[in-house]
Amino acid sequence: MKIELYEIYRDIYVEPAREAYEIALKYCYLPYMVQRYLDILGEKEALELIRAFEKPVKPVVRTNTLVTASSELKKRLSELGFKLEEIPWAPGSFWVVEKPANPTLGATHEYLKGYYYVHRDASSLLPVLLLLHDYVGDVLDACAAPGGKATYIAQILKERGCGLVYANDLVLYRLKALIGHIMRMQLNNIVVLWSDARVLSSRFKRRFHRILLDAPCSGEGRISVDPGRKSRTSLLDLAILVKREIELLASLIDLLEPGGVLAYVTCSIAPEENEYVVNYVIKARRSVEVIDPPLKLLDYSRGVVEFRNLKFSEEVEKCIRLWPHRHGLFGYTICLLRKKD
Amino acid sequence: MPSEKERLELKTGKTPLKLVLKLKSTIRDLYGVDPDKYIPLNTRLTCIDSFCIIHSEIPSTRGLRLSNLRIIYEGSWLGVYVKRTALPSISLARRILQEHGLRSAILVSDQGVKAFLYGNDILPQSVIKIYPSSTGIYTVIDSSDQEVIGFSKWSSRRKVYVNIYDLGIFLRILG
Repeated sequence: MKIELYEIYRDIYVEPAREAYEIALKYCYLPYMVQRYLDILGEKEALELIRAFEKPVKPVVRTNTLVTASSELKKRLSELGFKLEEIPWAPGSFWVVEKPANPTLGATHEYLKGYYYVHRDASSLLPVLLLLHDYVGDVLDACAAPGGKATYIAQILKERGCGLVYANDLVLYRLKALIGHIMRMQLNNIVVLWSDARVLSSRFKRRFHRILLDAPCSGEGRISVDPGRKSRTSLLDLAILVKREIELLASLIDLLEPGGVLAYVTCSIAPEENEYVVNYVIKARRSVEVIDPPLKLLDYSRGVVEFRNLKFSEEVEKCIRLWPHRHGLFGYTICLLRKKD
Repeated sequence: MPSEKERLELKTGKTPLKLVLKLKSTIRDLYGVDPDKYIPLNTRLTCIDSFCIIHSEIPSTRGLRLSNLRIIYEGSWLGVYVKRTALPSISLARRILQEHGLRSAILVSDQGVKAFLYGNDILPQSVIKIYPSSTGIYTVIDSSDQEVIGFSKWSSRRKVYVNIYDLGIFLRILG
């Protein structure tokens, strides 16, 4: 799909108001980001969001149920001084609410023995649970490294009895970490590919019923663990990211079987990187539609249909948004796209 | 100057026959089992810098290679080639020992386990029990839960069990 950068830049350009500049200065954000929060949420809630970004998130331990039981893991980590709280909507996963000074979660013997995976936040569990609802079969994880979702998918498929995960990424040093996780967790149903996800559709001679696209994004939803993201992405950088996101989504749709579902996921709350991208692609490719999530695991917020002077298709309201100040999680957006029969 | 991340060296391909035979011979010598039961006919080798992983091939991926897709890992972890020694993977050793009982192994105390997982050698006083090995190579077992945590070789000169590789590779090499 050919899309010009200037076209995106023109669409997303904003001249922030004075109020946005003042808040941005106080909290060290780029003004266009604050303007966005004000436009979507209004002043009161925008400030709640910014304050929520200042709070730490709880890391998550996901049991490798192929190796140990979650009760056994909880017992062993409790003995080491960790206090775990079960996540009600993700069986076998725990929020870490207290941790000792030593050892760290990534250096316990239990970790090295492959008993669990550490997620920075629970939000990344959600797309896997939604995409794999009532499904058994192969899955393509197009931008997979370092592997939190790929190993989770592999674990679920293994428990259900069949299915391979094709885990692809472009960045080799991140794939190295993915291979480490696969070996550590004793998974044997993952194929690791090193490729630009945009060329996968021309290389694969097959199609998939399930695809996960966790697109490389601004990471604006992860400000709580990486405050540098408050000022790292200029509006032009954002337009470049959006262009790549559109290219990725458009090319991966070609790999979907009719009736197949693709989860488009970003750890960003920017409509530019989410609803704008999905709207652009569903309008250009009439063969896909946005579908409702098959499960209500949380009280999700819905997708943004109108943003400044941009009006998106009503379909994008079916996207799921996680807001740090509403859900206590990373800012996250998930859109499920189904290829029409 | 390129960063360490950019300088990463990757080699992938079919495992050379010589290496497969070395691995099979080690498995036979260590555990007295038929290695063909554990090592499939088609295996692949992935080397990241100097650390080489031997793993199984998933038959359905052959077509992908023909389509110019670069597969860098697949299937089950079978072994490693490290310090010029071919050794079974930790998961394969665990499977063999579960099926056939402990052989060519040392049961190590908590203190010894901690040191070993940091890449250090094991002192004889940390060894709780020895299951004899004809090759001098020992599977290292955590005495607290009987789990395989790596491999060592007895050095009669230094009087220690020298660390060949351990679970800590997941942090030190593949982290």
